[in-house]
Amino acid sequence: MAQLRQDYAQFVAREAEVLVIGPEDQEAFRAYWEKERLPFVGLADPKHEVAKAADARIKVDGIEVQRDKNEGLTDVVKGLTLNLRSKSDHPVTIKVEPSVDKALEIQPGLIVAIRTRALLLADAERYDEAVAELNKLRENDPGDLLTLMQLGTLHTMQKQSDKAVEVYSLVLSLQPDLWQALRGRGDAYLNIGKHAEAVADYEKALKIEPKDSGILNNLAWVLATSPDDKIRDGQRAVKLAAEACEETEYKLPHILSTLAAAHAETGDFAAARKWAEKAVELDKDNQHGDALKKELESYKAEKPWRELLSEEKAEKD
Amino acid sequence: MAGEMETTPATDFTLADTHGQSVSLSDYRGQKHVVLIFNRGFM
Repeated sequence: MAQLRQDYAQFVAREAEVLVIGPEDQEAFRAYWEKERLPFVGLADPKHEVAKAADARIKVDGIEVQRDKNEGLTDVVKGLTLNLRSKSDHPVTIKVEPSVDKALEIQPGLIVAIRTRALLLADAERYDEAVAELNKLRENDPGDLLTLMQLGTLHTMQKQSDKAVEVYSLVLSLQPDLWQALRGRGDAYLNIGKHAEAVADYEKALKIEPKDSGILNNLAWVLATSPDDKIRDGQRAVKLAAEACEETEYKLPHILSTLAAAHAETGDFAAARKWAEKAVELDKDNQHGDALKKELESYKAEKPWRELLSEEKAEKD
Repeated sequence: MAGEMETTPATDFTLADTHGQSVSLSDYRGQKHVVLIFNRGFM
């Protein structure tokens, strides 16, 4: 706390507020804050409404360690790091896994545990089970935005874009200016080839978050590659894609690919080839498969890239 | 190439501060960055 007090000015200079949450009651917080003259916000959480320790199962180089709750995961990890320093002369991987099942055994219906179980299932690509867990939370609190946003993400990952659109639309009926929901619905529309709808959502999201590289990139992509003549706008796509590249320091292959597509749409195939080549070069681990190479081939043949329309996409899927 | 979204909003909460005033995470939305520190206890 003393270190934090000393460094607090640096947080303020970065327009950040520090909120410290702890298990003591409000009176204990007040007394401690006064005694230590702490300038940041202290929040009493005696009922563990926000933070609750859980049993943890930790793996260190494949060795599983069970740790009982209430000691704080940070300390567990720090303790292991210190122990390992004296024993190991090579880098080790520490994987911390909260024991969700144990937490639910102790406190059935614990929201944070159900949510964590859903995220772990999603990580394991067990999407249907993850959706079932989130639906339990939705039954309990139908208007919870976090649950709905997570459902939207899961439906997108499952390529169930119609369901994703439905969930994001519900979120937007509750909070119309939530740009993440506009972005999510835009992506879902793009996946099913509804380009006009995608553009409308991206435009709204961009007004709220004008510097977000993800929105800039995806809007530029549709404007550069839609087969619909009424939607394409090469000049604007170049401007938006260049901004997305600036925001990400010209380091992300898929964003350079958008800049290439935008130049191709304006007829500048030399610039398109230059950025498409750079995108292929940066995608060393082949994360994007052959897609970037196919785009480059298209520009070598002086053909602009085109996204599929919904009907074609449906046939392809 | 279109990319996928990674961000989702944090769960909101409301707790009492050292003056007994209610503070919600959402009070800071669009105003400031927030650093949340989960403290084990200072007693």
